[in-house]
Amino acid sequence: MLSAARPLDASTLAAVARGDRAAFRALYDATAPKLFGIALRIVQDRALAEEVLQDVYLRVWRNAASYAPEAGEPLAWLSTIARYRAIDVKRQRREVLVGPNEDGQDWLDGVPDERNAEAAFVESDGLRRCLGRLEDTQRACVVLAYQDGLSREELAERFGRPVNTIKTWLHRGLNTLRACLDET
Amino acid sequence: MSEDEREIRAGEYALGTLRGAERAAFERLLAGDPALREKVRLWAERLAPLGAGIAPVVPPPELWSRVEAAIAAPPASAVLPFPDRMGLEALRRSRARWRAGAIGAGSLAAALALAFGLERFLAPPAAQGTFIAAVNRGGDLPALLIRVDPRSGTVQVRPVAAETPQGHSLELWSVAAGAAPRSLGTLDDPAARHSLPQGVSPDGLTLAVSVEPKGGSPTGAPTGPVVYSGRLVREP
Repeated sequence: MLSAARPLDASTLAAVARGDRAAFRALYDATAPKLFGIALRIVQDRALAEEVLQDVYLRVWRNAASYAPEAGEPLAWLSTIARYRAIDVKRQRREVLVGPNEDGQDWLDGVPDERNAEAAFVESDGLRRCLGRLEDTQRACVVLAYQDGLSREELAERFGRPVNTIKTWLHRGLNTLRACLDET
Repeated sequence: MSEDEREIRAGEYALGTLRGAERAAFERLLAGDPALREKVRLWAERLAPLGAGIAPVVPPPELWSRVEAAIAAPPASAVLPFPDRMGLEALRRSRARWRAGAIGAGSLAAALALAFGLERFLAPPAAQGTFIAAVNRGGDLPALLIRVDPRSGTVQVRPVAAETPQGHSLELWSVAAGAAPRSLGTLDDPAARHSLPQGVSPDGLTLAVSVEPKGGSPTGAPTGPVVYSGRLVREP
């Protein structure tokens, strides 16, 4: 999936932490498309997703030393940062004020949308098996929340159910997932 | 909070479904609770395979140049702390803050350089002769983008990451050199257009945003802390 010119591992981040710009460029090339995909999916605005990415890489440049291999693969670590940052931006923007002129999103049509495939794409056997134990609505909530950054309120709107119902679905879904994943 | 509640809250945080006050409260808890942080980390690990379903999208080539410029620039230093304890202390210091805000705004040039390409936030495409300010509080993302069209005298505000403390309003001010701040109105209504006072030149004008009682300052002068500020530059 990645067009990495060189393998991306903990040593790349260690080099970035030492201020190695070539390593930083390699890290960017290897991870930017994935992070941009994540941010776009959540903020649904190309310019905003670019800002998120710029911010994420700036943070990575300044804080690469805080990366610990126990935090997971570098790509997973970066993806988490990008996801949290994108959700921050999306929430702040939605909750305070939404600008009157939302940008047209025609370009989004070109982005493959795999939400209907639900859990089929999950490469991890464990998670796929455990997602299979969730009721359909619980599973859809978990996947939409993770991939599209939907809040409880947005999920409630999507499913036409009260927020408290969504909360219950999420809690049951997460509890089932954890019990299932931790038993293996 | 019971252990079960902690677990589920950590799961929801990692999933991203907490919002607003609940999310902020959880983040405050996290800061002082390593065991809770570990729970969040475990949840992030459990859920990470869900990310495999998201298709990569190649960002525009110029994004790399922006990242490169950003890491070359010193951190933006026009920082006015936020959120701040409001009240007497803030009132007492508000004059000093205005001065600090006006001086600090100079280093926003760095923030603007970081934010190269910002005009794309603004629709429709920029007309010639307009001015733009990226208004921030020292973070890497601007909080607000403000565009001024001197011909019509209109001021357009586009929020990016502004936070309004509950029960308060954010109020926009123009701060011309050597003059008292003049209110351009509150930012309560996102669709509102604001007007620049007559005779005020937008070139290099400092704009500031303060926290005020709901509905705006009762005195006509800023009473709360300045949380964001920025300077207008001519749009390229």
